[in-house]
Amino acid sequence: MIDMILVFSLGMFIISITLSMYRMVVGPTIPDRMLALDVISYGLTVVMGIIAVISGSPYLIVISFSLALWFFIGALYVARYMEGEQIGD
Amino acid sequence: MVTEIFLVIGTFLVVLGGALSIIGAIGLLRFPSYFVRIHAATVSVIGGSVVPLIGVAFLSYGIHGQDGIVTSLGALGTAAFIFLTAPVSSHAIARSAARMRIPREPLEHDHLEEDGR
Repeated sequence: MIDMILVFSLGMFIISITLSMYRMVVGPTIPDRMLALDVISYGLTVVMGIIAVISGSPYLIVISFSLALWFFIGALYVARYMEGEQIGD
Repeated sequence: MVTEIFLVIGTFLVVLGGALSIIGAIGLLRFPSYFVRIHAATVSVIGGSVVPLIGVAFLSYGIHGQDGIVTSLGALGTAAFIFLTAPVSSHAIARSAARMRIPREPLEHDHLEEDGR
C-alpha cells in the first residue's frame, strides 16, 4: 500500500521535473534557465530520497546531500559569472 | 502505535510535496517574466523539496525501524540544508538578473532604478 503511494508520488515528481525541463530548454534568458535548473536539482534530491526509502539502503541519501550542496555552489558561481566578477576576490 | 502515526504523517507529507511541486512547475511554465517566476520556484523548492524530505525521514523510520535511521537522519539534514541555502542562491541569481536588465513585463514602479544603483 505505502509502496504504491510512494511510486505514485515519484511519478508526480517526475512530471514536475519534465515540466521544468521544458522551461530550462526554452527559457529566453540565462536566469530563467538557472531557476529551472534549481527546481530540477531539488526535485532530483527528493526522487533520490524516495528511492532510498523504497529500496531500503542508506547509500542514496548521502549522494542526495552532496548533490544539493553541489547545486548551491553552482548557482552562486553562475550568479557571480553573470555579474562579471571573479569568484575568490 | 508510534509506527502507524509516523507512516501516516510521512505519506501525507510526501503526497503534499508532490502536489506542490507540480503546482510550482506549472507556475514556472505559465508566468510571464523572470521576476514573477521566482514565486513559483519558491513554492516548488520549499514546498516541493523540504516538506517531502521531512516526510521521507518519517517514512524511513516508520517502515524499516532501526535499520532506516541513517536514511532518516540524512533526509533531515538535507532538508535543513536546502531550507537554509535555497533562498541564498535564489537571491544571488535575482540580484545579478536585476543588474543584467532582462525584460520585466508587468512592471509598475522600480525603486532600484530611482536610486540610481
